[in-house]
Amino acid sequence: MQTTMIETRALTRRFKDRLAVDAVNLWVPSAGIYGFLGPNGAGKTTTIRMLLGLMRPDAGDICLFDTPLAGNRQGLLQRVGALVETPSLYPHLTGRENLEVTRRLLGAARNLIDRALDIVKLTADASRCVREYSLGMRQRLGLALALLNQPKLLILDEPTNGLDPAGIHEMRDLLRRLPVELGLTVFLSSHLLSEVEQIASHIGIIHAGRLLFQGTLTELQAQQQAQLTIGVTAPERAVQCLAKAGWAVQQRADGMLIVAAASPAVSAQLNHLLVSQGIEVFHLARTQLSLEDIFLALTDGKASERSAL
Amino acid sequence: MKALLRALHAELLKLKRTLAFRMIFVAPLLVALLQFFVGLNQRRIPADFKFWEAVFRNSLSVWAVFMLPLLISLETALLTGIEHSEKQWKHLLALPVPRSAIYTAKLLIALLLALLSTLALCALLVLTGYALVGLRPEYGAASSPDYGWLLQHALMIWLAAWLIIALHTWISIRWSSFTVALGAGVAGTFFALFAASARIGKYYPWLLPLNTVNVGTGESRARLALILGGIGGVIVAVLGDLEFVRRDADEAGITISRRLALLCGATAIGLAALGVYVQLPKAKPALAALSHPRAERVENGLLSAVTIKDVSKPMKLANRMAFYHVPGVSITVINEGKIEWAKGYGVLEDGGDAPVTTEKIGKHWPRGDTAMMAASSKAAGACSLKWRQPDCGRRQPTWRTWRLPCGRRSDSKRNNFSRRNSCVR
Repeated sequence: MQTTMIETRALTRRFKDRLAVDAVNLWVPSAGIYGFLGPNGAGKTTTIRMLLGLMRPDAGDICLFDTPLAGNRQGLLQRVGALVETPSLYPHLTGRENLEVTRRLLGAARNLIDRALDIVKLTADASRCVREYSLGMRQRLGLALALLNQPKLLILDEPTNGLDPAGIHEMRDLLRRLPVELGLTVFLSSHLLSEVEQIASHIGIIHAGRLLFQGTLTELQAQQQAQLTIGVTAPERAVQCLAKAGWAVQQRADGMLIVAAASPAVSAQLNHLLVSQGIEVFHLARTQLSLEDIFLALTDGKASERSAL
Repeated sequence: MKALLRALHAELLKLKRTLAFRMIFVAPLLVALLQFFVGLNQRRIPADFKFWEAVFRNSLSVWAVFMLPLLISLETALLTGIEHSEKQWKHLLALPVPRSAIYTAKLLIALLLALLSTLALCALLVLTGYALVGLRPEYGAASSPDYGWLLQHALMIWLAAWLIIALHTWISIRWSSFTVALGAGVAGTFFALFAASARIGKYYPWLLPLNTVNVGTGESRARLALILGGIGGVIVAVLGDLEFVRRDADEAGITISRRLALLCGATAIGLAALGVYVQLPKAKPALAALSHPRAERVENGLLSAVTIKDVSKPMKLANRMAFYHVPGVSITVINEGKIEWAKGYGVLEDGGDAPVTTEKIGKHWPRGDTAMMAASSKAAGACSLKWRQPDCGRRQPTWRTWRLPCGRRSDSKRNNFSRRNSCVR
């Protein structure tokens, strides 16, 4: 059983004087879905292009299936299916003919076309010209192209980009099924965390060319603990009191106090401490940060850090 | 090799329902129609008119110089356009297929389409010929079709076109813009019209197909065209393939406006340079002769009609022109049938400032305000020229006769040029 699907070491690519990808160390384990997250222009597509050998890295190594990509491109790509940005389709050909073009290039078996059409549920529309396809159907046909050669690894760049909510839902269901039913690993990029957090088991967050986080969803959530919002009648005194007890306290503009790292037990303890000091507590709320907040905090924080430099 | 066959197989499917496929029949049809109407409306038919040869040769010439090069630029632009428009490169090049197979397959399809189209033209020409014979029986009397000649020359045209097919394939893969691909074809074909009459016409890529079929260009030119077209085509194909394999895939066909601008600029400069170069050979004899040492001897050594030995002094041309109020003179010396030197003096029009050149004098000299001298360099030393004033009573005076007593008076031998000037007019 393969354990590592993609591994990059200090992968770097420069465009003129801008570092598009800056020493990225990806590690994508087998089976499951790896969400490659980052705002637009973070370096996601550049990384994917390098993984597929469409672009040469300036520095660093890429290994697919524990084998270096350099020198083994053709053999490795035999086991990879890819959908980069918009699907590459010939509008004047039918859905089936589009698959046939790729099948002929690969020299693959004929029955694979029906299989791929079946997976993406396009069998009924296979004989229509792609020109008449909706965006969602095109995206599914693009996925069928990627799945045609029975890959072990599927690399998808923004597979839900430009789709309507129904299309996004459809694509998400499809992607969720793939690792389970076909046993393949999906590496997908997105700029929307909400999309990825529902299906991905692993997450990598890239911003301005640097990989800021890599790990499972639970690890990401653990990175940022919940916070406690406290409303009191005498905020200044409460701050002093809590600080004396060793808590880092922030005061918001509306007078609310924010204490990081709060478990239920800690919440009760803090409440007791304040009340015993004669400070009346009228609001006490624990909030778990959503991944979106964490994502924004990570990317924004690093961004401002960078601009400060 | 297997990969190439697969890529070719895939390319054939891509042609389905495309304009590229239909064009290979439309283009020859246009040429055949043109031939049909020309044949239908021809007035005078000489007794020894070789109808079939004329049909084949005329149409193949039109095909070779005009339709085929344009068809090639259109076809290659269409063939690669289906990859550029939907950003296919990133899909194609991420497949486990050698890149050179993809490039070579495109090139071979372009070659195949050009061949099919040329063969379709042959078939259509035979049909056109028989249609014309049916409509105008007088055509059929003198000759019969030579299919061997037709097929041989069609294949030669195709082979000589390899170079431009390879060039256009590379250009249209390299730049996604349809304008660049078609523009290159139009510019190439357009300048072929100028290059045709120049020495460069032997080597000019867009003229090579024509050189295989054109009358009067001779066997050697046709052979050169086949060699340049075939071998040049293979070389350009290999270079284009290497370039395609080496570059990043996303550079395939992306439009970078700066690059486009550079390309346009370079093309314009190249074409302008080419235009100048093409014009040069015509002007060359005159330019080369300007500094001929004998010119000076004529300019400073004119003698009067009657010369007395040891008394008559040689006169300067400039003084003579002033004396006769002649604004401009052009002198051409022809020796043994070749222009040895030529030079213009003064201005074209009295009071104007356009100088007389060896070319421009020709238009103006019958007006009488110019004088022409001819001298044979066979005569030793400066020539004595007999001037004859134009007939001033007429508005458009012409030179009736001029004679050229050469050398000293005692030299009674007359040069050819001293006869009537009919050969000059």
